[in-house]
Amino acid sequence: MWSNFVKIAHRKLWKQKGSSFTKLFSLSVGIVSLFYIGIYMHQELAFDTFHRNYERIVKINTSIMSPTGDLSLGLTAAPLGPYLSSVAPEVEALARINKEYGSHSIRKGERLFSESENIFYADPGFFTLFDFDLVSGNKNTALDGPNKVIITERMAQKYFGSTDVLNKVLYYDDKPFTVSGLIQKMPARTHLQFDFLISMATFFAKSDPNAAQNWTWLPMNTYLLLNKREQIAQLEDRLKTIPQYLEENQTNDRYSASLEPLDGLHFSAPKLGELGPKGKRSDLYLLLAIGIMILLLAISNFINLTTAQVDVQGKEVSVKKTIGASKKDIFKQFFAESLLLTSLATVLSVGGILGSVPYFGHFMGAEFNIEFLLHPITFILLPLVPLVLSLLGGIYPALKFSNIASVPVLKSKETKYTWLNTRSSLLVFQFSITSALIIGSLLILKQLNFMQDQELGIDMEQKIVLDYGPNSGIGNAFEALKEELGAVPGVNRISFSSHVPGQVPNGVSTQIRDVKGRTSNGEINLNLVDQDFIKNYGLQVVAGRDFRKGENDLTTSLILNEAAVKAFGYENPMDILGASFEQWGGNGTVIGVVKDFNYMSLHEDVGLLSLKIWPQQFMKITMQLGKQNFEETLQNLKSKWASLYPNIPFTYYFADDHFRAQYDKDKQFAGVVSLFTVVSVCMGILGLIAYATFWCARRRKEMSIRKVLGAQVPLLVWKLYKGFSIPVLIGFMIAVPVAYYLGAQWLEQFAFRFQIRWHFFALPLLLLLVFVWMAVGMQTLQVVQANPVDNLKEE
Amino acid sequence: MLLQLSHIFKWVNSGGQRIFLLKDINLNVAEGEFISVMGPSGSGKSTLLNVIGMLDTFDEGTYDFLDTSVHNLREKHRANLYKEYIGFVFQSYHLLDELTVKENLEMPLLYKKHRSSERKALVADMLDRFNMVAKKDLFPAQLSGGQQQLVGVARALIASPKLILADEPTGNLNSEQGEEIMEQFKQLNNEGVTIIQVTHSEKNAAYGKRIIKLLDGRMV
Repeated sequence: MWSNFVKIAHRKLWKQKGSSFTKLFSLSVGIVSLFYIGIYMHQELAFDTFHRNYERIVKINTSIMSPTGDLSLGLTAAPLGPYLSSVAPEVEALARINKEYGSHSIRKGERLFSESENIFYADPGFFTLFDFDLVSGNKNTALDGPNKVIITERMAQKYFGSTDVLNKVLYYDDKPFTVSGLIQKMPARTHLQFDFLISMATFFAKSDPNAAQNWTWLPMNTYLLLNKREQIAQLEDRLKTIPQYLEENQTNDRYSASLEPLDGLHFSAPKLGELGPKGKRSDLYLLLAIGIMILLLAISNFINLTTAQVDVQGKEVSVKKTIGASKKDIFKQFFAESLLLTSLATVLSVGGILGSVPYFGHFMGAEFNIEFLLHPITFILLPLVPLVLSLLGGIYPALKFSNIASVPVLKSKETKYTWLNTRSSLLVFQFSITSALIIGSLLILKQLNFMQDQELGIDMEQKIVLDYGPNSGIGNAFEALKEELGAVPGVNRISFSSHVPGQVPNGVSTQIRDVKGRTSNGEINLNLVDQDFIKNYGLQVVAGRDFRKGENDLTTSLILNEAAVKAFGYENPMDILGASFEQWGGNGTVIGVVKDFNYMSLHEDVGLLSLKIWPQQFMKITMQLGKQNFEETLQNLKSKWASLYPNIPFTYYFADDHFRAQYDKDKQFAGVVSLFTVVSVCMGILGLIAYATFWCARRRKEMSIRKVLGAQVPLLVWKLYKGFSIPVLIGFMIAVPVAYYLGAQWLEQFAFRFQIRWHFFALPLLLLLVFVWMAVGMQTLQVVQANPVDNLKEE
Repeated sequence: MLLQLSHIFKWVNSGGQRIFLLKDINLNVAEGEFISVMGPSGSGKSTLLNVIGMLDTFDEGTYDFLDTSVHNLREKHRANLYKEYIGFVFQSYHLLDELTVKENLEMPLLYKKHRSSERKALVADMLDRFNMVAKKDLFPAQLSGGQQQLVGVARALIASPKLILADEPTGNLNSEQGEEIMEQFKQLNNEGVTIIQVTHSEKNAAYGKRIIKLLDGRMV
């Protein structure tokens, strides 16, 4: 019997190619989309959980309460970890990680590169806590002395051209380091992303002699391995008794430490100094919602197209019933058809997934590990996919069809099936989903455009930034270097600084006399710049003066931005001029105020900023190059640099590209949402086309009668269009408030965002209607233009 | 007695009025009969046939089929009853378009859960008998109307029913094809199959041994 069902089913599928293709396509796309979204979610939710003891690993955070505001950091003082492991029996092991600051030159023979962001210092306990395997080298000794470094295979290839690197020497800022281990590339699903892992002893050797005992300097990411996870609370209590952090031992700022489990780290609120990318739960939920919507679209396409065939299938059912088929037989047959189709879709999806994994991982900005697809459990679970889909999409039509009586369909074609209304409802449902997705992706794209077009208040045109890293030698001689570089033809303006726009300078504690004459303490970002920085970046001085050459501005003069001025209570920027300040690295007076400019991404408000001249801290040179002979100028600069500093690589980027790179993640997200939107629109439209075919067939006779009675063609076309447009409009109306609400939520994360106005919704509606009209246009024209005689002939 | 209809009424309510489709029908059919039902359009011929075939219900009266009271049966049992004993032939053939001739013939056997070997044998017999062996793998659309109706008759016969109900079996055929079908019916009847046919044509009605005339739902 079943073989017979399958035989009929496959012939039917073949005969109704359009409808079968639509169903197959929708289902496959639905499965593939949901698969990717599912695996992406799984990997995000399982972040950092591949370590054997991940449940027992905690990280220590520090919060600082100061009179002008609170600060949470993912960092701790250097001595905190060792103190805890000596006094707390709960602590089984300890690992501290310090992320190296700025760019550094690394050299092996002729191979010289600048590295930044990928260098960590780590305690020997690193490998006790975290399960990373060394390709070569001994885990127990690789980090146990100064000047030892573990490098990734990628770096081994980059510097040595081979992976045989153990005990070889690498020059780090011109100091020889021994390669003590080789490690694989870090998996994407850990927050510990490094290429160089240097022994902690090296860090203390280069730091201030008291660094290891400094309780107010917070350089360390500190991780503890506990005996039991349940001991977190116990240890939290112990953190309250740290002598250095007791109230009586603290002055202005109050420090306190707290714990955070490793498996909760990825989605917790971002804290200063944390390592690795943070996940956003809201994005995850949004993706999940999209995935479910696409699946629902696929299933409703399926139901809609199956039931739309009632005219054809109804006759078949009646005939079968008269020759002896029972309800159960009919049900089984339609269910078998669903099963065949969904199985086919599953097979297609598996093929699609296998073919697209490399591209898709890249597209979603994730590294998809699909080894689990080869696990035997997959083969057991795979058949469940068509079964579940058939249950969702096949039961309803099968039940409806099996309930068709034997006589009425045979007797006449004009029988009304009341349950056809279900199809209109499904259509409304589909279009509300499609509308929501269209509105959503337009909203995201619009916000991205808005951010990129926003006036930042900075001139970044034609500027390249040379990143030479921490090097006080260069800083001290910066004026001479400026002359040398300025002599290269085509180099127009040069300025030195510790940070450039797009980078958040370090926040430092700053005391300034506030508007009421009291000395007030605040955390202000400090960018160390030279006298030309403000001019070269086109910043506007609104009060006081710019730094001047020749004046004794070095470290004693401070320029603030308007936001900082307001934070200290001053309404008028003029009033703060001459106020005395005390800040990291010296004290002096406020000499000027610059207009607010966006030096951070537009996710953030303009942060408080101070500018100060401090040449030893410079790390970057911004040079504006003339448009003409750009390449030549660059080459000349390169060779000039190489002759001056052969051991420091000429690493540069464009200032504007660098700034825009902050939106890469947003762009990627917009790309993912847009892709899924396009997919769902395609599904919706395909469904509509197939649906329109059946619908027009049903109304063929009606249209012919109207025509015989004298109706005009345009009127008939309008009548048919109206029929399709109404569910679209209703769906859209349902989608607007939902999309508005979700969109507003999403926009919340941006400090600078565009205003949603009513006409924003006009474009998606228009798009949708155009799509719909195009989809049904051909068929309606065919119906309307047909010769009535052909449609009015009785059988 | 094969079947017995007594005082059968069937009506629909339309606009507050009761419209009778069948009115006080009394009919006894013995095994081996060949009955032609005649009457103008809308006189209730097809309705009567559907009631006899248990595809349609009635509102009043009793219907006994082989000593079973059809009016007391549930739908499922009714279905089992007609599955077992009745074969249908339609004016527009109603073959299943997706199935070949052979598969169309096999269909009723599948629903009656015959074994595969048995099905094959019965189908082969039927193909032989109707001279359709060469056409067994063709789809209905590839056949002429007369051939399609032959398949329809063969399909009705394959499960060896006691009764064949034919609703204008020749209505869509030309006279030559129609004659061929009627000859088949005559031969079947000679072999003992009971046949009730609805027809407009006096000539075809003459094949029957008894003619029933209907007018406005009544037998006249």
